[in-house]
Amino acid sequence: MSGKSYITSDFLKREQRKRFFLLFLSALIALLVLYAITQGAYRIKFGNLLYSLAGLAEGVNQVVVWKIRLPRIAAALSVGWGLALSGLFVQTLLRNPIASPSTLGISQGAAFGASLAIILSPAGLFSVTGFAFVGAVAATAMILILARIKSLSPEAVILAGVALSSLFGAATVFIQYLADETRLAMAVVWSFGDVGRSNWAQIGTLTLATAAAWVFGFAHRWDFNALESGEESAKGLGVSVERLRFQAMLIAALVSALATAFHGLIAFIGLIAPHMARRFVRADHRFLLPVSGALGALLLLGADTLGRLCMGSGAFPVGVLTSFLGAPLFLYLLLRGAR
Amino acid sequence: MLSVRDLDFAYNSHPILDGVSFELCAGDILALLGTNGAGKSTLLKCLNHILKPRLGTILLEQQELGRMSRDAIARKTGYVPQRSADSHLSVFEAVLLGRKPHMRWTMSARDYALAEQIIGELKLADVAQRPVSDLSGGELQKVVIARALAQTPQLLLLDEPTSNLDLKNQLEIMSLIRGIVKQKKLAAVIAIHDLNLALRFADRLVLLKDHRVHAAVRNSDLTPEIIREVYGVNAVLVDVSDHTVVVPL
Repeated sequence: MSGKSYITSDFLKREQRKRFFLLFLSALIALLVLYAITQGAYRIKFGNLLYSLAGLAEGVNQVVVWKIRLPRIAAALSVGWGLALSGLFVQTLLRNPIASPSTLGISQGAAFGASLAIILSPAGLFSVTGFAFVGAVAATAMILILARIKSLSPEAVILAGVALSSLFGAATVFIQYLADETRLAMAVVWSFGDVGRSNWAQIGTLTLATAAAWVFGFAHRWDFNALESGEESAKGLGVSVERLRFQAMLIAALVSALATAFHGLIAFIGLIAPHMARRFVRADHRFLLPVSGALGALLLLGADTLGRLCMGSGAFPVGVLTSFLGAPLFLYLLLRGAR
Repeated sequence: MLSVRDLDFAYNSHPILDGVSFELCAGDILALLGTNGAGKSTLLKCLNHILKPRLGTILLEQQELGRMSRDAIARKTGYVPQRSADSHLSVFEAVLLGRKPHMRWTMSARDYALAEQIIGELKLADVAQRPVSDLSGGELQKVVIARALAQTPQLLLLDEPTSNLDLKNQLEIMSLIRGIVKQKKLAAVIAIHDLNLALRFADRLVLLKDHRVHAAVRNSDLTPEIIREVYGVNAVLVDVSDHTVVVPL
């Protein structure tokens, strides 16, 4: 037959193109990392940078590179990667394009936990990060338990998430209403997503959790593809849809809970990175997973670097910028896609 | 080949299937008939354990379905659901999915070759790299059937495969299914509303009524009485150029 192997080779050629795209993204991230290390209020020459990275430099350069810039950059990459993967998991598993960690109430749960710790505890008694994490996990647990015992449909899970977001939002406002001005300000500042506030241990924890999520996603890449064709098709192909959904949502929720607890609310990355990835590599999760993750990392590091360059200091919260840039970008993608 | 004995299924103590039994040989097509809500789709989903029956046994080539893993079931049964999602996978990727239950860690050259061969057999080569969401209803149905065939199953389960198709596509899809079943010696169970398509393309008919098998007959043995008892409609069976057709009165 003349058509034989033509289709496969065409398919493999397309795969090759996707691999090149992934390589291109990785190179872009590497360049952006180098650029981000050198730029800022204190500029570092490229030659000196290599010394600093090798641990050979001393003084200001060393401090700026290792104590300020690198943790910030690592946090941006890790949070971007983690949120993008979480977003992709939730979108695929719930088969809904608007699903993301924030539509499920996870971010609002974290914000509520943080506000509780900041406002109601005597100074420093409760860990804000710990409380934020517990808040996020509580929101997740509620959703998952509801979904599990009542066997909710994906749509109902999302609606339950919207209801929980609103509940936690209201509770947060209520505690803030009770707060004095200083603590109110602290709580509000916490909620600004910022990649400059975490330490290496936190970055390491988040990176490990994200790596675990990635391994899980990679092991189930064909199951995710099967779900792309509908729940019943996936079941007919041997996928235990309910179990996969529970596990993947749990992992996605833990990753975004960690990211939010350590860094505050960073909107849109979890929603937009998987959508952008779909534009480039379509629905095949073998490529969607790495490309979404890379785009998330690239977007967040890009936004943070832009924020630092525009505002001059390292204090500008990247969460504000991702929302500002994310919304129009998202609308553009939607309108272009709708044609 | 397929032997179903005393199958019971209930949704929240609301009975859907009650003591359903039938047999099916390789190379035969069985049409599941009955009114809306008679339990046709439910029965079909029990046959590959998408739904777990409460009681009863399903033997597929002497093996009991209840003792098999999900993947093992998916290697033996290909399922074509009533509604398929509008996915953005390409046709080739969608058909390749049929190899998933056989896959170990990654798709092999044999998986690619099989997917490509089936795409050729179903004349989908021209659209192989197009996204499934761009296809027409008839093409989409062919892709789902191709995916089920890529599972290299012994049993095909099809839920209303012609419900969204025009007359030409209905005939084309049904004769495609019949051709494949006869050629590859598969068994097929088709839940279907259209009595005439069932009479024309199936070998045997199982008519469900009130959660039970009301009649299990060869298609030549269908009578107006059975139709009246199951559907509550008076009809006659008329022979028109080699085909028997049901004409409601």
